[in-house]
Amino acid sequence: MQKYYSDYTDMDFLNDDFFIESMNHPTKKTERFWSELIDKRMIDVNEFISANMLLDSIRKNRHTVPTSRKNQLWVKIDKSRLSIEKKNKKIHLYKYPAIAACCIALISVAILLLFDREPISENIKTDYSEFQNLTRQPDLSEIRIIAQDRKIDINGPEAEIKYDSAGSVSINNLEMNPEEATQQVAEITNNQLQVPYGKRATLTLADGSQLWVNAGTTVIYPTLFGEKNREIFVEGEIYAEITHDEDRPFTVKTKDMEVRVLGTSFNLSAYEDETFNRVVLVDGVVNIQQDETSTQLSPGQLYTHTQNASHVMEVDPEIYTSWRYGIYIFKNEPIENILNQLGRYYNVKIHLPAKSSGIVCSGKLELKEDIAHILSNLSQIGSFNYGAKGNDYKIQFY
Amino acid sequence: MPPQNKFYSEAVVDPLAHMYEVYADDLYAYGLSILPDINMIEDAIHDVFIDIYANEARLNKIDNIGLYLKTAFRNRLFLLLKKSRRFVDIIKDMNDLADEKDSQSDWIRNEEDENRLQLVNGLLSGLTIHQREAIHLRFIEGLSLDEISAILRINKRSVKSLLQRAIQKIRKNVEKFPVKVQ
Repeated sequence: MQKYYSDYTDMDFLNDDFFIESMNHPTKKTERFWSELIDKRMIDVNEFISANMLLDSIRKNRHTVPTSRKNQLWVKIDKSRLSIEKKNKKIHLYKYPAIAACCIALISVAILLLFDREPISENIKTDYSEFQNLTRQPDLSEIRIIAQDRKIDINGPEAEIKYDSAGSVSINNLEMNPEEATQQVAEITNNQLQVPYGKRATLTLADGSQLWVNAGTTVIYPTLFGEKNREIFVEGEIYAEITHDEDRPFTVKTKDMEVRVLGTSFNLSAYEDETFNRVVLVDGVVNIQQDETSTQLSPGQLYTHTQNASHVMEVDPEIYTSWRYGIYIFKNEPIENILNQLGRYYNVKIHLPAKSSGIVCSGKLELKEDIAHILSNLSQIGSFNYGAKGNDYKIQFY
Repeated sequence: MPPQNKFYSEAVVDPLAHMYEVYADDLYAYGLSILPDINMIEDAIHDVFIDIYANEARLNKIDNIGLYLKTAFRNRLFLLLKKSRRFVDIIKDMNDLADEKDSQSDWIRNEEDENRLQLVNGLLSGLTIHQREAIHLRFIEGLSLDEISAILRINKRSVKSLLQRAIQKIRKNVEKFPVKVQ
């Protein structure tokens, strides 16, 4: 054995299980063993010391955390497991299989929420599918909030909806009954804001982020956000000013794209009946995920996605965000897009010829005027005739 | 006789709490040897313990709970890291889209990525994540080469050469950043 160690270098020592074990957990026996070798000069003492020194400095490098921090984490773990336990107990209370099955479904949702703490799942299309059936409300005439089973309709062309950090709601500065701010598991409840054509709303979320919600738009959002991320679903057009929170990235999902941000302002347009998706960044950084490619925008950039192609270009963001002030600015915009947009604002049906006219317009429209007035002005620049029948407008280019 | 996990004997009132008491420090230390993000490390520890709690029956059959915990923790931590990287990358280097794609495919094999998580100074500066892990498990936790190879999922020979190269770098660092030894 002694002979075995005689020509060991420090590296050899560090590769030796017995050496490591006896330095990490010295016993009388191992101490005697090594001191004998040293005394008898049966090992290279310099190499032995060098190995010891390296081992020592590595072991000094062990990280420690304060006990308070460790205890805090335990409290969190304990809480998480209690919430699993509670749900588990409920199963035994029910004897009827159908009800039990229903409960199991609920529990698996709860567990999913606990474990699936990663920011976003990959399959964009499936996640909000159950909501997507609900979003089609063609006959909707007032701005509507759906919270759990309650429906609240708000009269008037515009509405201001505010959630505070405790999850309670005020509409047009009128505080709702505090009992309506659900006390139990408020963060899991998703609400829906439906803004019909011809109306607009502003929505302040629980984290302070502000959304301007354009006509013909549905937003699905939670009363309170989770600890790990913030996520909403949008069909239509919003302008968003997202409160910065590094620990909780904000994701805006649409039917086929995902926009991720930390804190920033941007405009997003993803109407079901429009052939394009658009994101315009005002400031900050956003990352757009669509068809498995990710695109990242700098301020002043416009992202457009049509069919299977997407591209990014520099624009004046004001053009795309001025609608929230009741002004619609457009620049080199196909006349069809402008007319569709107007149809949404004024809640009228605009019938366009199937073939695109190829006409592009630039200008500025005050949206407070009535639609007939705007159309008659526009028809001169856009070279079209139009006929009206109630709320239906038929366009014909010449 | 099937191996029985000592934490699930009748004498232990709260096995999970006891396990946490015994291993939390080790997991923190191991995590911090990989990356300096304590929040992410805590998330990973949290998830691992909740997973254990949800799967007690399976766990009862595992004899080396320390090794199991370390492996599970490491997997979880790397998963969290991988998921968060997309975000971190965006913020850190805004114009580096190509690199972002690399990191999504397999970041651990990406030398450039590893370098980004390297420490700037101190004893372990210049070591890759793998090397730091191996050093930690071998010299601080005192694990055998077999155990390390199981955790890192590489063969024993690779563990050996990983350690070899790591020690050489450390030796150079000792000269650069001298540490007092009595």
